[in-house]
Order: sequence, then C-alpha cells, then structure tokens
Amino acid sequence: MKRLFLGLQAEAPWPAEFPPGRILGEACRHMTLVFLGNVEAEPLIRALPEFPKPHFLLGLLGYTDKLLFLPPQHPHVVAYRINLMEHLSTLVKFQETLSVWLKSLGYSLSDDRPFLPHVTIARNPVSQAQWELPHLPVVFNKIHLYESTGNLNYTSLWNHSFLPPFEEKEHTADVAFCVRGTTVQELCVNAQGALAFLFPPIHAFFPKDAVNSLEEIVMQLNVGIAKADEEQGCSFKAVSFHGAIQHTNDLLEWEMIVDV
Amino acid sequence: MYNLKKIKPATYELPQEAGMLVPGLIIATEAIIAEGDFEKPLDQVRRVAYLPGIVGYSIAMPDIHWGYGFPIGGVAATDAETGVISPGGVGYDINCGVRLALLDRPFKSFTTKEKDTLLQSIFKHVPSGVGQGFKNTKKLSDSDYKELIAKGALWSIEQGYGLEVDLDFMESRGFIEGGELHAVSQEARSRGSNQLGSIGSGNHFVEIGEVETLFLPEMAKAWGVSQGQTYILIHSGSRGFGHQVCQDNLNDFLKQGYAKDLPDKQLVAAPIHSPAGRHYFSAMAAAANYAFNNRQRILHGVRMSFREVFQTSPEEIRLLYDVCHNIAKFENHLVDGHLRRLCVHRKGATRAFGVGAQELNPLFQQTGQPVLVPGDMGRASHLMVGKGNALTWCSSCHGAGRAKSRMQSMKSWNNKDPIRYMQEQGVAVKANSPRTIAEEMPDAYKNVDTVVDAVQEAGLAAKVARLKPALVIKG
Repeated sequence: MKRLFLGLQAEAPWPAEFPPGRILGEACRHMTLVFLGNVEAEPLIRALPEFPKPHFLLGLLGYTDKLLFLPPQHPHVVAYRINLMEHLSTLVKFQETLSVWLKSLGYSLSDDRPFLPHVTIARNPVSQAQWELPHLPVVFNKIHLYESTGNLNYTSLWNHSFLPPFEEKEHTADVAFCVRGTTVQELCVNAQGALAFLFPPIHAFFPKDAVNSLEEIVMQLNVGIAKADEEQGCSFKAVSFHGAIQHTNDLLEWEMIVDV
Repeated sequence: MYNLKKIKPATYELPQEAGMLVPGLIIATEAIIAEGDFEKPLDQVRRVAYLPGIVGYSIAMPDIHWGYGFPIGGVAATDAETGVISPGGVGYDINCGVRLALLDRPFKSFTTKEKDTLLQSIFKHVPSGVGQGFKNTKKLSDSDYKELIAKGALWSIEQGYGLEVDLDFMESRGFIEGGELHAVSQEARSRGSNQLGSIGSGNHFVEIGEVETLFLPEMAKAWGVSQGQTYILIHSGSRGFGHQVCQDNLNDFLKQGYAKDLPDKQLVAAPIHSPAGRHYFSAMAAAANYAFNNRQRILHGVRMSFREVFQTSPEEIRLLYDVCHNIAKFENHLVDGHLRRLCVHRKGATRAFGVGAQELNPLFQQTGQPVLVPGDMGRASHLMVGKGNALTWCSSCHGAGRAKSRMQSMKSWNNKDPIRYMQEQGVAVKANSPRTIAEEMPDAYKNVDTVVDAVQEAGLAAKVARLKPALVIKG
C-alpha cells in the first residue's frame, strides 16, 4: 500500500524565508488534483500509459491570492490559494476526467469537496499571526503521481510535462524569455507572468486591456513597468520591441528581451 | 570568420549586403573575434546599416555585445539634414555615462577601517539599487525640471552640488542644447522625480581604488594623474526618466509607421527634421541633462563621504572627466574630404576626440580628451586618451563588454559567496541586491585589458593609466 495522489508541481519565486513552522521543501510544493489515499499502486502504475492527457499544451500560470489555514475547523496547514484565472474551468474539467478514470480503475475517491486550488507551504505554524500572503506568480508545468513518504516528503513515481508558458533564455546584456501562448492575449498574460517571476509586485501594475498585436503587448507591459518603477522601483526598465511572434504548430512564441 | 575583411590593424570591414546602405566596420583583434560569439551582434551591425541617411559605416567597438536594435558598442552617424534619428540607437538609459575624479592621496595610505567606513558612508549618501532614490527630499517640480533642462549640470552646481570648475571637465560642459520639458511625458517626470543623485541597478556603480599603472606618464602628468593616487569612478545615467523618454518615443515612432522598411522594430527611426524626430531630440536632450545632473549629485555624495571620513575638502576631489556613452549628438566630421554635419549615435560607445577638437577645454585640446573605460569590479578599469579616429567618427569603446549572460552568471555563483570571493581578491563590494553582485562578477565580463588593447591598436584611443578597483558599490 502506498499513500498516493496526483498533483501539479508548483514553481514560483518563493520567498527566501518563511515564519516558523514545518516548511515544505521547494521541490515538494504542489497543487493536489486527486487524492487517492493509502491504495495499491500497481493497478494505477499499469494504467498510466492510458493516462487521459489534458488537452491543454502549455503549463498553467496562476497567482497566489489568499492565505489559507486548513482545514478551517482545526487549522494546522498553511497554504496559498491560487487564482488560476481563465484556467480554472479547464483544470476543474480535467480533474473530473481524472476522477472518472481513476474510479474506472477501481479506486474509490472519498473526497467530494469542491476543488480548491491551493499550494501547501507549511504544517504546524507556530503562530498564524506571523504569516502574510506574498503575491506571487506560480506556474504548473508538470503533473506528477506523487507518493507521500512521510515527514513532508513526496516522491514522484511518474510525470507528464507541459511546454512552459515562459522560459528564461540566455541573453548577454539583458534578460530574455521565450514566451508562449495559444492566442495573442494569452501571450501577453504569460509575458506578464515571466516579468512577475523576476519581480512579483509588478503584476498589480499591468493594465487589463485586451491586446491584438505584439506592439500592443510591449506597450502594455511597459505601462506596467513604468508604474511599478515610479511607485516602488522595478528591477528592469523596459521590454524592447525586438522580434516578432512566431507561429509553431498550434502555438505562438515570442522572444521577449527585457532591459535591465 | 564571419566574412570579415581586415582593412587596418584591429579593424575589419563587414561587406555590404542587400538592404545595407553602408558596410559594417568592426574594431577588434583576431583574439577577440576568435574568443567571442559575434554572430548575433554582427547581425545587428548589418541591420543598423539599413538606417536611412547612414554615412560611412555601421560601426562596432571591441566590447560589442548583443543588444536589441543596435548592438551594445555600436556607432552610427546619419546625415543631419537628410538622415534619421533612432531612439534605439541611443538606448533606454539616455546619457548613461562615466565620470572619473581623483584625490591626491595614495589609496594605500587609507587603513582598512577607514576604507570600510568610507564604503558605508557612500552607501548612506548615494542611494543605489532598484528604485532607490531620496525618500524624504522634495520631488522635482516642473520648474526644477525646466531649470535642469535649460542649464544641464550647472543647475545642480548652483544648488550646492559641486564646483563650477567641474563643468570644464565634462563632455559638452554637462549640457546638451535643445531640451524641452514639453517633450517629456508626465510619466517620465514622475519616474525621475526622486531619483536624481542615485546610482540605480544593473551594471551601474561607484568604484574607488588606486591608479595602478601609467602607460603615458607625460599625458598622465598633464592631467594630474599619478601612480598610487586614489580614483573615484561613477557609472550611472538618466534613471527612470530617460527610460520613459525612450519608451514614449519608441511608441510614438512605431504608431507613426517609422519602422515600416526596417528589419527590426527596435531600430525605428524618424527623419531628424520631422516633428517626431525633433520631439525625440528635445526629450533626449532633456534626459541627457538629467543624467549629467545625476552624476554630478552622485559625485557630491562621494565628496561628502570623503569629507566625513578623511576631512577632505570638495576641491581636493578633482573631476578629471565625465563622458556619455548612450547619446545622439550633432557633430561636424570630414566625409570624403568635406566637412559634414552628422547625427552621431553612440550606444555603448564613447566619444574620443583627439588633439585640437574645438569642443574640448584648452587642456584637452592640447592632449585629446580622456576616454573612460570601466572594466569589471575585480580586474581593472582604464583611462585612455582620444585620438580623433576619422573612420569611427571619433569614437571608442565604453567598457569590457559582457562575456556571460546574467543567467549564466547567476548559475555559476549559485550557492557560493561572491562578496567573500571578492574580499579575497582585495575588493570590498556592497550592494542592495545579492543577485546584482552575482550577475556583475568579474567573470561575467570580457577582460577589459584586451578590449583597450584593440582600441589602441586600431588607433581610436591610447592607454594612459590602468585603474585597480578596491571599493565598489553596486545597484
């Protein structure tokens, strides 16, 4: 018997330090999709080649938006709720698909609470009052079948990767990202996420207007950078108009160069 | 290699291809070309050659590296009547530049404790790092901006930040004519309102050390430079003010369709005499004057720190020179034997006027102008003298040039202590951000000694002195 669950690995510009408590290691931070509990692993492992792959190609970008102490009745877990924006409905559907598939394999899933997207950060906090919510971008680029091995350790038994919505690239003088999206609007949202990975507070400064071209994306990003720089300083100064949107398969890609 | 043809010592021609209006000119030695990755920067040199009205060559200095639009370390001159002006040819940090000041006391005479106190004091007087400015001082008003733009560095001197004699030792006396506040957006004014006198982040710094080696003792003597002397090197620009000016004008140029026939939108350029071109120049000049004032106030902060620690008077810290390395300037140059007015874009390149140049002060007219070449915070910086090289429109390199990306530097110093490493090399470093230190470590840069050797071999400037850093404040 193994204690298993399916979850999305969470990557973020995590704070260097947290208040006292049992802190989860960075590599173990995740968003649980389906919790199986103590079960026989073999049937699932045998069935993994038929895993119902999600239809989305790119990893998911979200933002922490609320500090949670769970469960509400006897809180001993500190977690960040994740605002998945337009990805939430997609993920809920995928979670339902997973549940149906797991039930078809003979697993009984007892947890019927509504899906609450969150990432656990710590257990047994010394004091709830010491905790604050950092507003962070979080990306989920891999689904794992995790085994909980105790003492806040999770071992990946299998994984399925997505193309990251953005990846930092080598650039001699400045900072560069390969940004991806299925639409121009999503390209803009993911570019915002890339910049928020460098400097999380910037997310609050981006305008919410729709964009239809690369020029509009760059201009919108620069409006956010200018506001952030004016109000609290920003570690980069501008996004350049370098490059063009490339169409590859079903995706749009853009090399974003950020002036530091 | 790279289809380059050697035409002179350390000087290569990049042949003109379809779309290029002029050939490229690369200043480099064989060793620099062999060691570096020049593919992308040379592509940018080719693209700059598409600019309407470009004259002579699209030029790259030996510290060239990949930028966006123009390469960093790029020079391009356009005809002042029929050519274009390109905000991307100046860069975001308008009038980013360097100033060198000297104190006639041997650096070695300072105790470790005094040096540490000095570093702390400068850190207190000169804000550095992301968004750091003066939190409790009055923000710049529009009337302040008007004065700053109308007077250049003189404005800060009138406010008590420095000495009037400082002006004689600045490129263009610390003032670019033609700036207009109405050409500057409210966003730019807001971004710059509390940042005057601050270093900023990235590769900007204040560096203190000793004059280690003299290469031209007579020249050094004429400039009051001596071996063992204490030097102060300041590298900063126009902060958020200049960045916003650049951004605003790039946006406007693009909206007006000026990128239509260019291979890279970041090269967008408008005719100099078009309303857009004139508007940009007015705003750029305003930002350039902001930068002169910024460096003037940083030097003032450094002078205050020296006074606190060593009781030196401000006059004892003598400004040798202040140079711009991100700027477009109108200059007269000989083209095919005829004097022609050009708009010289220097993006990551320094003006290097030689003997007799009219704009220089009487001392530098006799010697050529000082050319300041910061290296990295471990190895060295250099002081050179301009030779007035006609092929490059009297330009020279501006630094060592990066060898590694910021990402590579971060990775290579992950889980190590770069501050301790620098201490072991005899350099005390202080910064607001540990990431900045990791990104700016000496191994992230080319060896500045090889860069200045190339410049000297090509006849752009000659080495006067090598400067060895010991105290460094980074953003």
